[in-house]
Amino acid sequence: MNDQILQVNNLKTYFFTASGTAKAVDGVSFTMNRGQIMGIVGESGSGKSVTASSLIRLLPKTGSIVDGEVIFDGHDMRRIANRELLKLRGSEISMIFQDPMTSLDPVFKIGDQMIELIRTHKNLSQQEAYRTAVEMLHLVGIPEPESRMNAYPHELSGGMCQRVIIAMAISCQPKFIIADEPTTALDVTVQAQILGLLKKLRDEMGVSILMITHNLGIVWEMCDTVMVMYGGTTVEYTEMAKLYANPLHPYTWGLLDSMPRLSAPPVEELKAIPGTPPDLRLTGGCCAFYNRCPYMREICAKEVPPLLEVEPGHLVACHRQNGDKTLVRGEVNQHD
Amino acid sequence: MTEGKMAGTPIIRIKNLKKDYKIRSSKLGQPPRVLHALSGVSLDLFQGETLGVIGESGCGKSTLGKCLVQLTRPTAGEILYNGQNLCALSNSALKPVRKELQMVFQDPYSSLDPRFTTKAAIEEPLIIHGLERDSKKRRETVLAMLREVGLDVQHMDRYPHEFSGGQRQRINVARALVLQPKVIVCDEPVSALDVSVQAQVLNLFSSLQKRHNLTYIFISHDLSVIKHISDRVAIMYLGTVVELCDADEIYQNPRHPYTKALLSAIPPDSPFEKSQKLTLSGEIPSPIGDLVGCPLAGRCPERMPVCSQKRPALKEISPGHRAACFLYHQEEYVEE
Repeated sequence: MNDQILQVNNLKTYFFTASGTAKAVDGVSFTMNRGQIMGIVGESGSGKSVTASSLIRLLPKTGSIVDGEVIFDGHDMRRIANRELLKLRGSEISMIFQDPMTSLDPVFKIGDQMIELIRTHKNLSQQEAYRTAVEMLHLVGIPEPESRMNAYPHELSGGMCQRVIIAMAISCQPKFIIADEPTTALDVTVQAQILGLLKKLRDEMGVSILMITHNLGIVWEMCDTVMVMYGGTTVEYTEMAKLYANPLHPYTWGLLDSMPRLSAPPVEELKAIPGTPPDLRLTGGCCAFYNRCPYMREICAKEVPPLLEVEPGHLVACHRQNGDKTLVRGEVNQHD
Repeated sequence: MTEGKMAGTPIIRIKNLKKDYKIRSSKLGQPPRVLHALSGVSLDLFQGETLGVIGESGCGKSTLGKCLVQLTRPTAGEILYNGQNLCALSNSALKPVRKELQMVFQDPYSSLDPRFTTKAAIEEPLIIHGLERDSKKRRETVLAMLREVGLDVQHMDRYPHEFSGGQRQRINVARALVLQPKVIVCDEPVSALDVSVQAQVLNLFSSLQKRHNLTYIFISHDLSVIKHISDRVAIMYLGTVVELCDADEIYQNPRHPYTKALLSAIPPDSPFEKSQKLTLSGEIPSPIGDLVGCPLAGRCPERMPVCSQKRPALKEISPGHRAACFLYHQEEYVEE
């Protein structure tokens, strides 16, 4: 049995709106192994959430996957029938969303919501499903799980709700969890508890986790591999330690520089990336980052840079990074 | 840098500020319960400094900001500005003071009126305070202000929906700045922005402070942002300030157990930084009802018997470093 659980090749998801076609995901490729935690980092509108939703075809009516290939554990996710897909979602693949308070139905008790999910996917009696649900709540560290089964979502705090959602996500022993900004709505001390929990799940149950985040600190703490996204495309994809030690794409440099660091000595001014993220209706045909890039050359505005393996296991999409180390971080652009 | 600023007289003195909210009881006929949003905050704010206020949601940091500009009236305590107690002033007497104390809010999307053009939004405070009656001169003032925050004449007659989050926050800053205030309360002004844009706005705040000799109260839940922008930092927990010190001290020498826990909960700056995790169990207790003892007593790993009986006072434990914890001073406590 091979170790690979997910393979994504050149995925393109477009949204067809009245004001034009938004290329939310425009050529994303990566692979994930069993038991791995992979991070997708990017700013809002970089396509990281749409990438995740595309994997399980959870897209609104205006959006569709126009090209590429998603292979999950031998299933071709683009061609699989809807009935099969419904079986996979929730049992083999589950998803944790950003806002814990709105992911649960406010008019049902959390116990009933969990039992419904478990009985949809597993052939269990009401009592067996109840016991599984209590066990799962216990596993994610909710005190007095039996009495919490009768609670409504509004009676729980944000951190507790996120634990319930994680309990639901793991209740059918999935192989793969998509966590879309699972801690963004939470406070840091609660965030630390939730991240610890996700890590424990990986270590004990061997699930693969796709973590979507905009916080590089979470990547350093959690992930094995990282993909940096910008304007719907993969700009850099490598192992976490390699990205930290030797980032190669100018956007990654800008991202690292613009974050204030707690351990660093005080600086007068942060190195911000000038400009704003691109309008996704206008991208394509060029490097999405070219108009904000300090190392821009003529070719950047004319051609889409291919994702190249410039070092073993280190993929970068940049016209100026083709492996011969011609571009140095911080150099002055002599183009103009 | 901080030393020089500290030597001056405080521009604002907050003395034992309290803010209670009455909450209607869920049972009929029972007396309303009391939520203590601020339970006795005392702070001095010095001319030209940036005081960072950090804490988790519900700790009262936004209430403190709103009380300071008298958007909500505190229940008890004093705010001394220019020798006047703002809490005792009538609304009409407050109007000239309001001009000098301005506020920038968190959400750049909802804090601008969608039907006001940029020009209308920025000149509104001038009209309210009757500062510039000539409309041509007012237009010039607005334009100068726009250039000050990095926008230009082409942005003048546009509506908020035409701007990105970062640009909107620039408009909000211009709106606060146009009255030439002395103090600006910034309530999470960058939390809704992406990292690359966040750095631009943080740099704008720093450069405006230098040019106009502004004093900031900078409220945030992001410790790295706070440490970057602030001279001094106040850490709040459940309506009280638990630690107050220089921004560098907080990272190098945190004293209060809550500050230590907050620091260890923050995702690391690098994958190799393996800090000793000091996690707090549970979540923030509810601020409703009367609390006896130290607010952290239920979660603190270094709890002592005295902690659940008396509330520690905020006392100087080393020069310029104050903490409210019985670990450092046994005898000082707040009379309830």
